[in-house]
Amino acid sequence: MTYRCDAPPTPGVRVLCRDAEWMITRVDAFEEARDFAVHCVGVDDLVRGHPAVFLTPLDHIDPVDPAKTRLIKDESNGYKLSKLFLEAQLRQVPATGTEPDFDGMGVFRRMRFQEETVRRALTQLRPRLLLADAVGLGKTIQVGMILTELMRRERADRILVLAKKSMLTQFQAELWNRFNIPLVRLDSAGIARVRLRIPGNKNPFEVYHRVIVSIDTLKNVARYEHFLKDTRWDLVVIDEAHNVAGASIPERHLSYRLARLLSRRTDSMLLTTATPHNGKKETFGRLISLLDPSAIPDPRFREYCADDIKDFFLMRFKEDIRDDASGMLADRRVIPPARTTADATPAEERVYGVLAHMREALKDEDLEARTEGKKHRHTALLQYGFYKLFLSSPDACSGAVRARLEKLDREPASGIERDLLGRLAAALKKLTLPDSARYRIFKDQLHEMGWDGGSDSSRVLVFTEYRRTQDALARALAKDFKIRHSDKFEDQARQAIAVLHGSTPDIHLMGTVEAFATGSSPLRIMIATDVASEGINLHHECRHIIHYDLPWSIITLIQRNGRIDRLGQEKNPILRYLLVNTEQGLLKGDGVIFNRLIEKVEEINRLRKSGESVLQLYDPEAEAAYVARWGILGGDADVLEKPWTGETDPNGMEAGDLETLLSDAAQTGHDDFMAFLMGEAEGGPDPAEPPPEAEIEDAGRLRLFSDRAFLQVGYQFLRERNPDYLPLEETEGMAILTAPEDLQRRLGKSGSGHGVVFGATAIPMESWPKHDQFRLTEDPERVEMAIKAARHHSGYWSGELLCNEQHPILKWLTERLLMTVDRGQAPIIVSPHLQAGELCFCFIGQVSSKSGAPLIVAEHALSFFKDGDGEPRTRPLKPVMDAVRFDSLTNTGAEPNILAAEPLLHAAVRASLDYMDGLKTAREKELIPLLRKEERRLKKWKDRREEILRKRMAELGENSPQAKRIKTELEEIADYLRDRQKHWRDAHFQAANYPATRLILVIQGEA
Amino acid sequence: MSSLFPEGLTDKEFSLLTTCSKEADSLTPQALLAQASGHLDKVRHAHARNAFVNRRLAEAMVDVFKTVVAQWDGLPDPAKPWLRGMIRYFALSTDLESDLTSPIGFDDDVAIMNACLRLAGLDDLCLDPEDFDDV
Repeated sequence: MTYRCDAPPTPGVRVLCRDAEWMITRVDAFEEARDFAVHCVGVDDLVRGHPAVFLTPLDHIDPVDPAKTRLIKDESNGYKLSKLFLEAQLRQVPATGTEPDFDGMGVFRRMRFQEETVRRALTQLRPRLLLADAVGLGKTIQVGMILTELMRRERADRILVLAKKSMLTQFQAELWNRFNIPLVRLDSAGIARVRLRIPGNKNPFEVYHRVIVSIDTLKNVARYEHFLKDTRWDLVVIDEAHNVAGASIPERHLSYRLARLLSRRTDSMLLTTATPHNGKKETFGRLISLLDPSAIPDPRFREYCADDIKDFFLMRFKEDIRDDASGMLADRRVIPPARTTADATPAEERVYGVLAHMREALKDEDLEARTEGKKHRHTALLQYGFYKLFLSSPDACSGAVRARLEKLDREPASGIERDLLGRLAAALKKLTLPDSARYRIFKDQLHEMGWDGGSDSSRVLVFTEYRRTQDALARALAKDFKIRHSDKFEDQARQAIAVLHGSTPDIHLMGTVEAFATGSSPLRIMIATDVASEGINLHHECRHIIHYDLPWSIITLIQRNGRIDRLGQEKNPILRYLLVNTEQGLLKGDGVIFNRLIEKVEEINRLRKSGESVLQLYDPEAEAAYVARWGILGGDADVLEKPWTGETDPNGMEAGDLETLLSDAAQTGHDDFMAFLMGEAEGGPDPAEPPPEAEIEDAGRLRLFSDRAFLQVGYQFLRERNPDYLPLEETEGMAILTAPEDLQRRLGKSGSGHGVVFGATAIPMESWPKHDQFRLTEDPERVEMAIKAARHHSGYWSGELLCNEQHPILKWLTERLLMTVDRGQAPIIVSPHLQAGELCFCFIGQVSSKSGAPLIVAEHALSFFKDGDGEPRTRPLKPVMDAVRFDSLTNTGAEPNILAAEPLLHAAVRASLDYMDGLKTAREKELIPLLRKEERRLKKWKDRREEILRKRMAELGENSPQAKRIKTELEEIADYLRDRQKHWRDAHFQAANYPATRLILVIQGEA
Repeated sequence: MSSLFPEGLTDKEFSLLTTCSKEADSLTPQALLAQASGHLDKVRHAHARNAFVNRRLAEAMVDVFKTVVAQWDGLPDPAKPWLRGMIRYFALSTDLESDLTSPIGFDDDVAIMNACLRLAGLDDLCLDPEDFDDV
């Protein structure tokens, strides 16, 4: 039982196994890289296109000895066979250099700060980054860019994305529409469905290779733990990662446990969040240690410095990228508050009078006093809660008053509260939202915008704090603008006015959000609570936000504005903050605070700082309570001008220090990286010394065909051999391919699998085109238009996709074309542009790591000359292809001298392997100093952490219960380092002893 | 000698050095040098199979040992047990950082060597492992 070759199995090689022929597509090592799981796709008629995995300890796997390759004369017209076979081979070669290739990467406008993100990820030997850019700077695009680059390097075959349930489709569609990265969505039902189709002992997470799951589904760690423990990922992405940072006791936090488990089962990891901490060093430290447990020596993550964390995160603000993003970040406009402020009506003034009286009557009640929790809440409700409700709408306030009075009726007499509420209820009587000054100004604003709810009306996103206000507002709008409106969840996406709140079921929530982002839907106004304030992109079809009432929190307002004021917003976002003035003395000053709140939010928008850093409370609710306590009740108009001083909470001081530390660390990380790029840093390239030829970094890939031409010519070539394939329809700028059955099966279309689940190559079924017709274009602008059109007509899924190498259809085509030449054969052709009698052998060589991952892949050519010394001349393939004018070569029918070529094969293969050995040495020279640096960092971390733990154990006494936990922690450190050595260092960077090579073409000079 | 024992080592390094000193107590410097040379052969062999193994640093260390042994008689007597231990520690394959597999397999050996050299007043023979990171 073995793989019969010195070199580890190499993707692209054709092998015989179990009496059938296969092509290797991927290799995973196990048992300390002595054995391999060899992933293959079938080549023979019986197994064609079928995926299979063979294990070297169980199967005989026979690769071809390249020295025994049989040369076959290419009789095709224009040497099409050789050209396509060579092109397919080249397309199958993974990138191995350090420079990313941004050309044709996807559909987005490239910006320098995004490029830095990708480069930073690639310079890490093990990409692990926290993307902590501010709200609306396109973190998903950056994730897509890194994923694409890692996929080109065969380092992202198995991807797991964790996102919030409300974000799944948006994330999935962005990566598919813009990057051709197919993520399959698995929810609990999806996992159950897959399990029904696979053997009971098979792991559902092994079936699909690129998966997106909601954190809520997967955090049921107990249920999925055994599957997750057995699954290794190439890359795990956690979106909105602050949700997994854990609470005060993180071990009890399911999301944190899940993230920690995944962190240890993956090669690369990306975390994204605009709010990477809650003001505590521990929370941020914990996120960084999720990325790399060896970053911070302090096991409690409280003590660390900028140097410990600087390489693991990126944090940029709008102002950092404004120059870079010209035209992509339209400046927002705030309608001057003078125009969005109304005076309270006399009836409202009466209510404000009662509310002012309530505040006066309870002014001696100290909210900070350690009163019983319930009493504290009721005091707060009376002091400012009902006031805040009334600021929103009479309906919100009277509903709450009614509910409270009913409750009081069931309790023993409670004095002052019942009296106050009785007076408030009387003042509120007959007052409803349509009579309120706020609604009047709201309607005025809509009229000013020319909004009437019809299809020409602008899309408007309205935020409010309260459900009762939402419902009353929807009803009043429907009545005044004569629009039909239903309260039913399922109707929200289908009507002009939609209401969205926390109780809206997920499916209807997603449907409504999708309709709001779809131009052609009738939806014109969406009245939402904070359920729509985090993560969701609403900027494509909407530029208007009306804050119907004000949350007393900077964080909440920034998150809400971020829904439409974000990268890619082409029109100036227009914000309206509605305010109402009252004449009641005690409440009069509040207007100043509300105006300051708005000014502060707009000021942050123009600065390089986060909204959280103003008050340093890091929690919207804490901010609202703080503003209420010190601003509204305390009468301090400057409440928003200074951070929370930590009067009763030491957190204040820590938060300020942390902000400074992160800002320093982010800047140092950026500066170090720029210095590295300029060759100034230690270990960076020395600009004075030009690298030898073999080391020249060339991000540009050698290609003979453009992507579109490859699709066109390659598919036509296959069609000649498969008459049932429908013709490719060509229009200007567009190719329409009707997927033949084997392609449908490969892309995972249900019903075409004959019982086999093609999970490894499946695409999102939601995106499947009508009549199986895939529309591919090389023009990213066109895809951008198609994405917009999809938003206008049908929702998330673009009808046209970018024709690039990453597209699963081009991957399929590549594999099929590789199979057009039989195993153990290579075509031989004749060129008039070589010296007479010259024989040029073209190879693709690979040096793999012990785990079979590609360390170096190099296409090269070896030429033997008629009157030479017998020693071949070795060159990279590109100049040779240029010299022989390969792309324009025609088949004149000249007969190649196969008998003269075959005896030279042994010498050619030997020279090719020597060439690869040389490249291996060059690569080791480049890599090993970096590895040593990293190993030294790890050792330092281990020594520091062990020292801290041992010291603590000595203090506690060896037999204390805590000491036992510390012992476990010490054992975990050893386990972690062992795992890291085995699965990362040795598996990925230790070169296998023997390189591999395969002959792909021979070119003979015309006699 | 400004100190009585090598300084700046971790507890584990110091403890292992002490054991090595005891083991090497009855051995001549030449015998220890032979052990070190034998270990260097293993290192060269391992390096041929695995470029992680830092042959350059190991060779530089053996050169230092040769220089030390060449001037053995003139060295302060209290430092000699530690210097013996230093060479003995180098000759161990399985010390704190595996010499024959780890990319920084000799960092611990160098830390111990430098501490012992400083004790003997041979500071100028000390090595910086980072100078030998290049392959």
